[in-house]
Amino acid sequence: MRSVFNITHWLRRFALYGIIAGAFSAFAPIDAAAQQAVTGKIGLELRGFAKAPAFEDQARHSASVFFQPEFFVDWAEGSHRIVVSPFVRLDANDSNRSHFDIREAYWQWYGRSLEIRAGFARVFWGVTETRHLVDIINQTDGIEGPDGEVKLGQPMFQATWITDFGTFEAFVMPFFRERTFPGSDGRLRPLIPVGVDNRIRHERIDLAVRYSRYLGSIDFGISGFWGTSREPILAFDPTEADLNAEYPTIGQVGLDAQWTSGSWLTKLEAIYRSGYGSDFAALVSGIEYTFANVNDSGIDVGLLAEFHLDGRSDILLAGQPFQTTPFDDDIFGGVRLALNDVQSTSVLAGAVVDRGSGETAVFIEASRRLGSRMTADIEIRSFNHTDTASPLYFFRDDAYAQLQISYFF
Amino acid sequence: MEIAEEADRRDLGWEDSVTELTMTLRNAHGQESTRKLRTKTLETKDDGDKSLNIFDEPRDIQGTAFLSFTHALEPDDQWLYLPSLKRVKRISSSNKSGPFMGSEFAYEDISSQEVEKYTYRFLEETELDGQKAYKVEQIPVYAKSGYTRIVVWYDAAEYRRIRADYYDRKAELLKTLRWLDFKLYLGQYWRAHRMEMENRQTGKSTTLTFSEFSFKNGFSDRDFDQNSLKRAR
Repeated sequence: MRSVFNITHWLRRFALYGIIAGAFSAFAPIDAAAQQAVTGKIGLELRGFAKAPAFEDQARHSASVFFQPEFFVDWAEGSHRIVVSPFVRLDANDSNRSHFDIREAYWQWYGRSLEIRAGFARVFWGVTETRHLVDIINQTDGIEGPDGEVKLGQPMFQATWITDFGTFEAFVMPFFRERTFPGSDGRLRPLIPVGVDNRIRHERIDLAVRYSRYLGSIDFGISGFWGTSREPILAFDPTEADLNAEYPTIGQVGLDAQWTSGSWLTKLEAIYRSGYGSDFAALVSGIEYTFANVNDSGIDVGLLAEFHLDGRSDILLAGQPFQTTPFDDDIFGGVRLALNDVQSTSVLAGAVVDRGSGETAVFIEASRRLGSRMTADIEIRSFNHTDTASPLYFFRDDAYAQLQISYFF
Repeated sequence: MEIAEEADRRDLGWEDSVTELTMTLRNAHGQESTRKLRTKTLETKDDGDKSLNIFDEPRDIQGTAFLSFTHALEPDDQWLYLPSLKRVKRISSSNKSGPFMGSEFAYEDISSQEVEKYTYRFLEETELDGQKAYKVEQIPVYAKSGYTRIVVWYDAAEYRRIRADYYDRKAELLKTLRWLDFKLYLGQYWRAHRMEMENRQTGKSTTLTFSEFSFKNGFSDRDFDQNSLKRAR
């Protein structure tokens, strides 16, 4: 059995990056004019599920607390920076969900047209709302939520070259992080839990490049990735009686673009991937139209639609073909409300519907500030008409409502 | 027109500026809430200014940064950086009439003032707070403006805007803005250190208080791009 907090493992990695950062920063010692700050958030999350769990061992509801401080120091007139941001969650039921991560721990140097970064960092690429196809640098912290929006810190060396013709970025990633999954006590998991040991592996060096720029009303990025797939392929492991997550070596090219014209946003993300079953292409494309300041009320109402296509092949699970993504041929429709009030109240709600099976994932996400240092976030998800060959089938009884209260310091 | 052009001409050549500002929002019951942000501006020849706003308070949006390239008649180019997601988002700039940060200031009130954004009509020479002032009616060229007209008072001595009355789409008086606590920089550039916006219909108000301005910091376009947005904090 793995330990929840593999401390020695983390300390080793941490020390390694500390030494690298220290070596770089030795060229410009932290001076008296350095700016530093400690900020962060701490909070409580409650999840209530509408139905009794589908599988054995699963607890009905869940409660957890989380803590994410951030230390930062800027020196040498802002040309050097160190950011350290660990994250910890303690969950009342699911021992997998009680977990620790280094979200960020990096040193960065900012030159006029060159930036260098070393350490654990988070990088986001993409434009669409319901799926992040192109975004590949960081592993998903899958245990945080079923939407996959939360990411683990990725150890990397990054160079950014800024020119008048756009921005060029290169990433060298000597370590790979496995995806996190709920344990047997947790909900929103497959019938058989995925075996995880949350290791940071050093097997090969993963590489990525990206070119991005904006031209008038178009913003776009072209990216390439060669290395360990962040998305696993799940296979039943009879010796451990669990699902084994395998991470093949892939090559992937990606395109993300947005055209911003008046109240319209038009978005596109597309990838072509080899090494993950048969070669395949996938895309998500969408539009967003905003009715701004409706009737001079200050309220913005946005309408969103996104279209998903994914050509990846099915896998065999218990002898039956099984989809590895729910986004094979889907449509999303949604509404975004921004009240633009003192509490910055906002709501995003919508549904992703499979065009073949009618499988539907409905969600509502709402947030509001409480006073000046707290926020309340509500999230409601439900999975309806689930298809037995889709990964969402496992979540068929897992409709839930979640309340998160965060305090910022 | 000549008055607005003179005001614009007198405010040329400052190159770039940095200031910190505090917004105090007050509702009709006098309850207050505050926002703090830092703002950097780059003067751009033959186009609107570029600006980078970095939010410090409220704490939940700390590190959020807003980059704007204003243009006289074309829509502005705007990007938002969301630090929790590490995401740079190009956003629609058509929402000029909506409230900025829940305050009584609309985006169009705080964006860079370009002469071409309005048509002008001289109303009268008058007096405001014991100063000789020119009263000018400005009609927004932008079709989606929240205002049918704005009446602006320029002081006759320095051609500074000292008061503006905003009339809503029903032509009713909506808001009054006053520029106060002027200070002269580099012997040439006047900056108000306090702006008081009062909503005449709801009784809500917002005060902007500016710290000392710093000019000619040697900024370039490189300090106002998508990469600078990500490193802002």
